[in-house]
Amino acid sequence: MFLQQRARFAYVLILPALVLITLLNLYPIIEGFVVSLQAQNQMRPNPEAFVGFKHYVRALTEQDAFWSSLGRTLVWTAGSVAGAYLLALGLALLLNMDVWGRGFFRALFLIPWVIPDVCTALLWKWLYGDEFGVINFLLVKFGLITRPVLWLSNPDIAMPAVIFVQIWKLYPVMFIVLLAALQNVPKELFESATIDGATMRQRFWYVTLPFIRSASVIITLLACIWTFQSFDIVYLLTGGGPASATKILPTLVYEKAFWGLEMGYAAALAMLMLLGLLVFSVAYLLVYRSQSEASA
Amino acid sequence: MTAQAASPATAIEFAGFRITYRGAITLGVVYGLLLIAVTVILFPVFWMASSSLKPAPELFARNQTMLPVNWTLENYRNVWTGTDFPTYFWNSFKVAALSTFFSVVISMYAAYAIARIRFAGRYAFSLLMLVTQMFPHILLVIPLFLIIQRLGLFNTHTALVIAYTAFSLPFTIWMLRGFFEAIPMELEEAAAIDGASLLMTFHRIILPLAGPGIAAVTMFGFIRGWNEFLFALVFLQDRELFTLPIGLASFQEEYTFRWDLLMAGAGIITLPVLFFFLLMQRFIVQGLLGGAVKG
Amino acid sequence: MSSESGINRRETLALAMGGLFALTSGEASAQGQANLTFWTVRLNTPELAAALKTILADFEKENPGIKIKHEPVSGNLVYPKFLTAIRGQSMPDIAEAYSYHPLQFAAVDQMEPMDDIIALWKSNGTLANIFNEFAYKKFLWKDHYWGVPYNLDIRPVYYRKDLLEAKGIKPPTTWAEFQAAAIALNDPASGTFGVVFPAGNFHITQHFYMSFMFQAGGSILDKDGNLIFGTTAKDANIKALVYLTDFATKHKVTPPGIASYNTDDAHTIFVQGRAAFGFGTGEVISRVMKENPAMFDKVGILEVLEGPGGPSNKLTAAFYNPMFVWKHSPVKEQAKTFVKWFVQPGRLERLYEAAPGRHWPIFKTDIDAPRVKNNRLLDEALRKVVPYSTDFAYPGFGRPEMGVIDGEKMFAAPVNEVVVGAKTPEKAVMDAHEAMKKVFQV
Repeated sequence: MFLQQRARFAYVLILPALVLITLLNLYPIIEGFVVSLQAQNQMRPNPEAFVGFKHYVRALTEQDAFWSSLGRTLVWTAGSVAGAYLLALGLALLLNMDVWGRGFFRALFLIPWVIPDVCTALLWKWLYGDEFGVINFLLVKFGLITRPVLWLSNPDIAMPAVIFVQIWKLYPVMFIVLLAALQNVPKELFESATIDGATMRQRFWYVTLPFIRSASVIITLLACIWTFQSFDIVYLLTGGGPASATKILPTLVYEKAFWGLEMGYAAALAMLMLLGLLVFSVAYLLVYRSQSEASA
Repeated sequence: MTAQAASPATAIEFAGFRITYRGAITLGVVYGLLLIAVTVILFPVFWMASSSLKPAPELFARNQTMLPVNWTLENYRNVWTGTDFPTYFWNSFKVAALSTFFSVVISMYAAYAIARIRFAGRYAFSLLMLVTQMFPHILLVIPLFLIIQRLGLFNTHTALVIAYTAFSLPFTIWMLRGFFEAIPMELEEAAAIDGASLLMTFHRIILPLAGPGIAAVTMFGFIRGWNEFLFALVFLQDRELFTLPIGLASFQEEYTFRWDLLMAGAGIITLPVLFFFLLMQRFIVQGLLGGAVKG
Repeated sequence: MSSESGINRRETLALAMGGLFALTSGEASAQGQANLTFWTVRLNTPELAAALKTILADFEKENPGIKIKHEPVSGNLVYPKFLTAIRGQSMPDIAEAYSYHPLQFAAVDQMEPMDDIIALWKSNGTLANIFNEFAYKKFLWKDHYWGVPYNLDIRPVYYRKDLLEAKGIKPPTTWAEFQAAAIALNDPASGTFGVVFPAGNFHITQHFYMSFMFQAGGSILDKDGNLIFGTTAKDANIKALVYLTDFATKHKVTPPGIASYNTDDAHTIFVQGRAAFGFGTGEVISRVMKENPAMFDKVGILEVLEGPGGPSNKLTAAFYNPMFVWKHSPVKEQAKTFVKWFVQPGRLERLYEAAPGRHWPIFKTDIDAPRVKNNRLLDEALRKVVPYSTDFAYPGFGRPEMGVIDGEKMFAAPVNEVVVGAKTPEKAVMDAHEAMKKVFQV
């Protein structure tokens, strides 16, 4: 009886969230699925004609489109999230110490988060420039290089360069989450581990990590999802070039949907992205669950 | 506390007590790392700020100077008085603050329910939140727009508040759930025996302990609302209703980037949030101090 | 497409619910007052918006029954804004936007034909006063004009008079001379490159390629609007691509990073005096005036080059920007009244003054404005570039498909790919042709 009441109460608590998410997040996705089965080419008549899985077949079979972009998107996502997580964790561990001015540093490290995306992209484009880019200017000045590095113009360097920008943009949210999680680590546990003679690494592994594991899993998963479908930084920095080196799926979807006016095809690409993310997320969570059960 | 981690042999208290040789090295390393990180990470921001204070001819001068040679506030003046930025500013603040408030309140209860109550559909709800994050926003925008229209909310700030709230929820719920789960069950069990109702337990015991988590998601919600561009672009039509990012984007046309205005505009957008951060800082610290998590 | 198919079920629903949001669109009120909404994409910077405001005020004074509401459509997400508006039937009454928009929107039955305005212009001599017939022909599709030109966006080649004089080189007028001059003037040791142009994967990159295509005798479409990019025009288009990219790959007289350059990056290099020749938009003129005024007297504008296509192909790409009226506007007659008023010689002088060089009149009689005479660079551009400016539809009429081809940057890709050495010119052109073919479904 008590349990039933509690359960009923739970529905009341989640209702507002459920309504909003269903209406504004889920319903448009379903609509997107419907569109992906329709012709929906804004250049041709009869946009609502049902075409079945034609767009999906095209996406999966066409050369130089879905698959090559998918590969680049995986590199882009994995590189950005791993880099951002390591940076965020490092900074969070440093600032979890009793150092003077930690509040000040904490605020400073959050600044990149605040810069609007359009500014982030244009700012970095400027920093990366071959002639007026201040990064090259400083590297030359300090004698580290003699000729400017073509950060965005060399197909081999462009991807790492845009990943670096995404790391810069992404790490603050991970940092703040990890920092908040670290504050849950009981001091006493740490002290007793220290007295027991645990090394620094052991203490991180056995004391700190269990407390931030849940937050880490969630934030890296969300970061993967965000990065996988973020497009403005790449679009503004390189336009997908040079020679398609940074052409990731979201830019492909955007171009097909709004410049190519092939809304149906773009929706099919987006559904494929969703499907891929879904498989990945479920697998990720399952691995996490089995691991945490094993360690528990 | 964690300073001990870096140096097992001694405990350092930085306020001048008992700083051992090893402790000093540790402290030096920590500050060294922090300074390097600050320099590298904040250099672009510094560059942006410095550029926003340079007159146009200096922006791309052959000999770059770290600081402006001739300082000027003209770029800021142009943005602030030459456009409707003051209006945009207020609009952004309103939309961001309201959507943050709603998303934090709504997600608090939802997250608590998921964290603490076993009910049918719990897992499905979590998954729903995750899945709805996975569709590119750029394609959501058309169906979303039609919904907003049918609700009669086109060209209103309400539309933005609702959308920003809805799109923050998955993140805020997931995060808060994690924080609530990290709080030991025993605290509540003790309270339940006392006969306190579920909500009272939540308000009196859990909420104060989740301070850092709530501060983190508040920041997230606010920044999201403050910087969001795409929905604001399509949901609003009247210039008087525009938010800051749309005002900023108008300095970037098809073939024209107005660097001077962009940099100053970015400065105007960044400063208030920075201020907000510094305020939130104290909440995080308070959450830490008030936290009886260790029981 | 039949006119019925343009409105789908959802749009009908939206129209039925129109009461809720018709308020935001133009609507004739009971007093006979018409409120027009006017969306702009290239009149949004503070200076231009302020100038536009005074022009609109003049219009309202002369037409007391009509009020104009100017709404800037910002950023590089112009398409999402327009497409959502179409789906939700919350379009403006009039818009000023990209070249291809009127045809693309006509293809989904959103545009009001402008045939009556063109007919009027024909009878009163306005058409004859327009510099180039492609300015309006590009909006002719399926026997109707879907937009009218109001503005010209030019793509001149700028050069440094002082550097040329120092080496005793005359301003080049042919491809061969231009190439020789760019090579001769390349002097990285003293910080000047031979030539700078954007070769990134951005829209602007294609405009300069387009100029060389025309000069080589190539084009994308033939005079009937058929795709010939990789067929009959293939050789000329490859020749143009090789000529353009050789500056970077073979002669190495460009900045090393042009493969990621957008308009703005190329402008900056030239405005800061780091290149002997620079390809750009008209905005270079106002940027030189503002950012490097000391260089103003040292800058010139080249005659349009003569290439393998001979003197008859002495052409340069340019863009005659359209204004168009939405079919579903309840006040389209008033909207057309505004368009007719707005597009007249002398009307937009204040815009031209606000950002010298960025915007150009489309009328021959505007050529002698004192504003132009008093600014040597404007004067040079008007004499040397404007008369030779043609548009993407050259040598025929517009096609909505060109919006997709331009939008997906299908002919920027070859430039970008060849500059970084990812493809040979031949393969790059043929790959682009295959991509374009899909758009035309041929």
